[in-house]
Amino acid sequence: MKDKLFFSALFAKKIVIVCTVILGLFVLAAVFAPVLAPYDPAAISLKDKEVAPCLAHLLGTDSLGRDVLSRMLYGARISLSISLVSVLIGGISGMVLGTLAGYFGGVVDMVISRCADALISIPPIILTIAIGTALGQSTLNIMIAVGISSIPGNIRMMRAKVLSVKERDFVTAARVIGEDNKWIMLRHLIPNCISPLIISVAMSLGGAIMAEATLSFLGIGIQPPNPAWGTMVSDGMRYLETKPYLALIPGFAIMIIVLSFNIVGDALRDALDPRIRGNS
Amino acid sequence: MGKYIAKRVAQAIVVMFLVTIISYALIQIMPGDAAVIYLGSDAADEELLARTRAELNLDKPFIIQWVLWVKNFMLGDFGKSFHYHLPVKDMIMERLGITFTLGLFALVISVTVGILLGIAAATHRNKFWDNVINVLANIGISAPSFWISLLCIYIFALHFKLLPVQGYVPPDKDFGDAIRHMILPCFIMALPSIATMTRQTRASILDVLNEDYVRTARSKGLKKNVILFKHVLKNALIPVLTVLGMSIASLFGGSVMVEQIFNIPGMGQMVTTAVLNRDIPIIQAYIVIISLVIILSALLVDIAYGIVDPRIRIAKGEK
Repeated sequence: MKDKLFFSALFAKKIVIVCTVILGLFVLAAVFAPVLAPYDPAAISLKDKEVAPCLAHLLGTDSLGRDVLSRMLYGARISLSISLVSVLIGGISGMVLGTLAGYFGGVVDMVISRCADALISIPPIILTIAIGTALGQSTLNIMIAVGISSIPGNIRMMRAKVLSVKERDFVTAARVIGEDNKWIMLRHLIPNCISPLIISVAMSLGGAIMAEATLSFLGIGIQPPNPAWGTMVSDGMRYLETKPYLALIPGFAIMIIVLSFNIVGDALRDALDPRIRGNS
Repeated sequence: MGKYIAKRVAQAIVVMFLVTIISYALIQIMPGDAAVIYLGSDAADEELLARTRAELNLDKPFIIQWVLWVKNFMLGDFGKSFHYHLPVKDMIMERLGITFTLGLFALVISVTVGILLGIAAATHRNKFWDNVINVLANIGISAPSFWISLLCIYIFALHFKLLPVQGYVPPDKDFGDAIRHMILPCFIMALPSIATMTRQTRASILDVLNEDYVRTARSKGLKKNVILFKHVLKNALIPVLTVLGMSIASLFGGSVMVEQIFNIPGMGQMVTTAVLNRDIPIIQAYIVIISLVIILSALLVDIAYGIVDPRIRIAKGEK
């Protein structure tokens, strides 16, 4: 019954259903890219270069004769894996630091909170670019760079929630019977505080995809010949006048996926929040 | 009030110092020796390498390096570019004005358009225009700025030939041409802020509309517009102040991409080039300057908040 209420609230708007389907297709495309792709995404064939969309190449080919559809499918893989790992990095670090800050308070709280303030005062995209540059280009480093910019928000959210929960009776009881701090945090605080964090992590997936695309667009993200969507846009930019679809298709894909993540994320948050659910 | 301001200023100074630690640490997490990157192919010369290392203070412990760096920074010495071997300060000074001009323009656009759209959405709640504005705001947040830039260049510059494709003209040289060159980049920089501003304005107007004094005003028989502009907006725009502070961060973030695409010789473009050259001193100086602007504007917003809403300075300052 409760689940039914949740799902009817989640899918109350048609746009949410559409976006969920789009995300489903995106995940399927990413997982089954090797099966679905009609060509090798890195296969260069200069005699087929810059073919307009046709039956053999549904989305045409780029300036090196690579099939755009195949590259899009493999690009979905890169986007999905990088955004998933980076939001996990940001989510887990934010959870640990936020719990420590909220539970111990005092100096620990001050140090962690001020560091979060400092990270927040650097625009996320610039932070990501700076860390990406300093660490150097590898897939893992991009994941770290994208993940770090979501840490401060997660710290603040987790800290606020822990502050409210740690005053509750069951935590006091646990302390009275002599459970140690680590156990209280792991067993009592984190499980009771994690749901808003999970929602916020889910909602930051779209932002992570955008950050990765931006890095790749600037040439400091995923390196060629790997087909990241951002790289495809910047490759296509040179042919904007003659072959606009080369830059516009991957860019449109980024926008639709990010938009879908944001809309489904918002709907998820609203559906889980009984206050808002009651109003609508 | 004085106590509240003092507390906020102290906090801002601490945060600013932490930002300098973070940006200085970039050199530390960078794999490889900064002196080798600085010298390039000359690094084979052992003696020169050792001298450069001493010159860049790399032979000292991290904390000393950092103190010296902050000291030099405050004295106006931002170090030398690894790539161009020119003082970073001169490079930044040349470009600072351009980025700030763009940013100011974009800020004006985002505040006016954002608040107007927010009012329109709130007054047409759940009707056609509200939905249209909501979809547009979602797109504004979700669309990658590089893609919107390309789309706009394609439509307005290449197809209809209304605006120039790229470039920058200083306003004191040819004002009309300068504006024509700035319309697209500024609008694109403003887009995410317009979207958040619209959402926040809409939400806070709807909040205020539920207040008792609005009901009283309505039951007095006041006209809808009088209620909206005299009673509702005055209070509803307070939370919008917070968004304004955050917008400044997103405007600077956006300028990196937009300056690159529109070939505008501002700080953003300098940073993109620095990234490709792994020119860390430029990135460090850029981070510190931008963060200073952001922290200062957040401080001003908070103080303004304290002035317009006494509840806040009591809750935050005098506990």
